Amino acid sequence: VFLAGPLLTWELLSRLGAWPPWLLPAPSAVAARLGELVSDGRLPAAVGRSLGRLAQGYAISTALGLPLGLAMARSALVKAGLRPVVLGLQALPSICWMPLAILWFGLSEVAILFVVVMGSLLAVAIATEDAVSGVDPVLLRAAGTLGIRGPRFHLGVLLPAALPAVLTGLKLGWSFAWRALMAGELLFVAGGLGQLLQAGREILDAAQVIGVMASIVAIGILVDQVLFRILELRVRRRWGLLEAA
Amino acid sequence: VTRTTRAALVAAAAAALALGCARERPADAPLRLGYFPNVTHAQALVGVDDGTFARALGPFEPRMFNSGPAAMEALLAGDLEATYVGPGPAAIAFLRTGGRALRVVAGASSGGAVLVVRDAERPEDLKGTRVATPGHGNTQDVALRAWLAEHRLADRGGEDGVEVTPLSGPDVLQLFRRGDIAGAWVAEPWGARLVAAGGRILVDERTLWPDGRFPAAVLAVSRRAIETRRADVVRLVRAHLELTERWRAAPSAFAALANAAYGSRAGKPLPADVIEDAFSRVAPTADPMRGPLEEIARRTQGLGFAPPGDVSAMVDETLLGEVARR
Repeated sequence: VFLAGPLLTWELLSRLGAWPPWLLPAPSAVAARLGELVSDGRLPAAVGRSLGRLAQGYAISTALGLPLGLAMARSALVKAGLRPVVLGLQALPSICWMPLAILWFGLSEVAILFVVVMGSLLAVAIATEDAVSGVDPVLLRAAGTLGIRGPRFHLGVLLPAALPAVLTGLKLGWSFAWRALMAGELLFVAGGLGQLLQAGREILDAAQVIGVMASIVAIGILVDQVLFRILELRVRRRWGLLEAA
Repeated sequence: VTRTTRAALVAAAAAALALGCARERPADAPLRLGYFPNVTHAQALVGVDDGTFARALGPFEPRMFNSGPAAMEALLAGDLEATYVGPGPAAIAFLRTGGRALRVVAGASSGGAVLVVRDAERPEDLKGTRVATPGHGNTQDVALRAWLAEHRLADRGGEDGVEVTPLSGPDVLQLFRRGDIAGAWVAEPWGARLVAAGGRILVDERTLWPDGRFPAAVLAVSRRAIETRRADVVRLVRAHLELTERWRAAPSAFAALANAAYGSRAGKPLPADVIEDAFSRVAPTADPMRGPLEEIARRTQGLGFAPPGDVSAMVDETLLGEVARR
């Protein structure tokens, strides 16, 4: 309802010819173009390809980022050696890896996965480190007193205790990965939503550009607000944080 | 009317005003001329560097682009009055705007496009491979897709098709050397550079057109410039004709000038044999070649790159006529 007003105004002004349609097409034209892209299978294929890449890249990032963050939080040596590097590289927007990725891996899926992983791995690692460092020391001392050590300590005490904060880091990592992927696909080739957006740009089809942008937003909201929201709520409820808040 | 609706209306009106007015530019502001660092745009390379355009136009702003779509984007946005551009993007821009944004006022060059491959002997050998073009919807991209369709190869990849991959020139060269792409349909000098990198010409596009003539680049002018500052556009066309004539009269001297201009933009000029090879496949022309141009426009429609519409008003030859009369 809140969106309807501006959308209607937009449609109306477009129809009245307030601006050239090739600069900003009407919402109905965007919807029509989206319909075409769906029915000729290009949009679903692009979404599938992008999400597939995202899943792979994100899985690698978490698989490497969680242990890396944990190690940085628990080992002074790792912290001293790696933390400056991780923080430094985190300041580098991941798309800056693109030229090197193409040089190293060529025009392949690996190159784009590399960019995605570089985009989110460090964010996940840093957030995990912060989360683990932020665990209540009383809890750790209690675990020590009870003689819990090794994997049982890490998986049974540390990770669960840090989980709510780690989840925030994972969410951050996902949004970094999503952005890196879109940036990569815009510059890069071979399928995906970014490519579809760029293709629209190159044939001067503003309706396709806006349509793909809307799809990217929709997917972002879906994952962020639905997937992570459910996960977060579950974790918070189990940890008793919901009632406390 | 609630307060929110009123606010939305005001915002929308402001946006409309901004979109409409931000692009206004006084008619006596310097003319902005676009071109690419390509052999098929040799008139622009030479004319910008040796002062031919400056003498004809007075102050003007040359703008270099790397691909047709980007140049057309600038022209549609009102950031460019005229540009050398391939016929594919020009046709797409013409059709996308229903003929309201631009006209092709002259041809620039003919030929100069080749499919260079690593080791394919026949079209079928390209099945299941990746072939590069300079950009989605660019002139060579359209040509490659039309050629693939003719040989019953799909252009969306798969086992029975070819994955058409848009890439910039330097990336094409690099990935061709690595073997990541099986070939590329490109404009000169990239064709000659790929050949120098060990490639073989599978298709010289001149063999696909009657008399071997088809537009490689044309001179496109925004309709607003034609309407509001016709005298400047006529001067531009006259300079363009002068440069075209110089190219025709002394091709190798013109090629050397173009190579020097290319070198000052790309870092260093190309080796003499590469530039000679590149120029050997390009011919200067001021003829917009209405027939082949309209054929290319219809191909962009057939591929879904451009909306349907009449293409016959795309060429405006009156400016060439005006120059000839004076």
